[in-house]
Amino acid sequence: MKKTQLTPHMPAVCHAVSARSARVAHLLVGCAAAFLLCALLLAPTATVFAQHKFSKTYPARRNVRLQLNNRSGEIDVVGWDRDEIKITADMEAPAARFTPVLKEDGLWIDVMSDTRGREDVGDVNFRIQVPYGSTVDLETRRGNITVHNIQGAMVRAVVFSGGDINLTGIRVNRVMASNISGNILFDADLMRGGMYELTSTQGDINLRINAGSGFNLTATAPRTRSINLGDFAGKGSWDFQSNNRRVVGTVGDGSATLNTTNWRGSIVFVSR
Amino acid sequence: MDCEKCSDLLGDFLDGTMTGDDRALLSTHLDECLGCACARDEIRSIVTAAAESREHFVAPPNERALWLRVRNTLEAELGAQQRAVAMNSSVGNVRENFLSHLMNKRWALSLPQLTAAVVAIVVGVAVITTVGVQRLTGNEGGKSLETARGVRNLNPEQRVAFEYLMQRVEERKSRWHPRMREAFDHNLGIIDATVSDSLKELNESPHDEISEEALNAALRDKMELLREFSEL
Repeated sequence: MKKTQLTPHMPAVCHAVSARSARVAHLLVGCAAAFLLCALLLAPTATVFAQHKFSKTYPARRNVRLQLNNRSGEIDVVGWDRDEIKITADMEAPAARFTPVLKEDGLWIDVMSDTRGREDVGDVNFRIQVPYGSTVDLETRRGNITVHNIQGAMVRAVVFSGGDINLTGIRVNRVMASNISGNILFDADLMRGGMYELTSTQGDINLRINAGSGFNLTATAPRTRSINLGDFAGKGSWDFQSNNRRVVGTVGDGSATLNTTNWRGSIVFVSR
Repeated sequence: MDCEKCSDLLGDFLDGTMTGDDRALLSTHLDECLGCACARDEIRSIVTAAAESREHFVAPPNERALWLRVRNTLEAELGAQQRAVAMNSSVGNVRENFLSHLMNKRWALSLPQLTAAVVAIVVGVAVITTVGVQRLTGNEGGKSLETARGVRNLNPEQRVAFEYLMQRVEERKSRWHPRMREAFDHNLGIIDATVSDSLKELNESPHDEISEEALNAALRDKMELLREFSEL
């Protein structure tokens, strides 16, 4: 067995080897610390990403009321043939919070920030499926609202600033829709004794109404004077008032009341 | 000598200035007439008493000041009596008295005073008219016609609410998402344009119902927009 001989250089070599080992050890410890730090930082982020989508189904009566108060984003409500409400939401910002509250008279959704305040929380886009017979009451500061296939007691859609409102396949007694800018599409069967109010400040209002409907109409478009009665022009008796800025008249038995106002845009009727 | 002649000469007799036959005749009459003798005795006693008390009725050092005090006292008492009468009379009577006093007063103005008064009245009327017209037409302080008319349609509470909400929005706006800021500004502009259009129409046709409706609706929308966005 060869015996190692110690030379005068050996202590320096040993010292160099131990120094390299120490650097490697330090490097490993540093990597481990960095990994732990990344893990700690990424853990809540992963949770946040998990909160960006929301999906939940609630049992509901056929004539349930849905009340939604959004800040910004799209709202899409569709009637379906189930006694359930299904809410799907995409949240743009992690600060957005909402907890649907199921009460005896309906489901209430109020979007707010994670500090429980009403600060701007970015877009929250809702798609909600409700029983056909639901009452739907929707509000948002900004964004489009679509309601389709609802046959309950009331549909109310309000955009406090700009956004389109599309109400299609509607058979309810009371409709209120209003926005400042953006178009309104109202495709509905007017019910006997029903009240319908559509108001926009600027944007076009298009109404597709069953040709056999009977209603009293007051349509006002003072800025453009653009009120196109379509086929209904020949079906009713009309009084064009204030230099054609307002049209008042009755179609059929006049059993429903339809008031539509567009202060700076046009109003167009289409019979179907 | 009779009694009448005696009473005329009695003063001279007591003063001792009467001499001669007259004094003898008067003395004879006084001896015979008891009434004139009594009168002589009374006058003599008064004169004697006055002469004896002369030093007790020395004139005051400032006689004029005394009379002024007396007059002031009398005027104060007279004024109190007049005030008491005025208190008992009605307000209308008081006004009537004041007006009658004013009307009955004689005004004497010199030509420069009269000219200055006329100029002051003309300037005052001009200033009041200018301010009134500016308020009516809304040009006061450089404000636009539309703004003034818009403010006319607001009650003070609404105006305060507008200012408060606008201030709140401006404070918070920087924290909003750019999309939200754009939506707010764009739609506020639309509402303001509607207000402006309505006011122009109302300026031309003050009784136009549709323009009035449009104005009220726009102001209502503006309030709603501000209220909703002030919470963000």
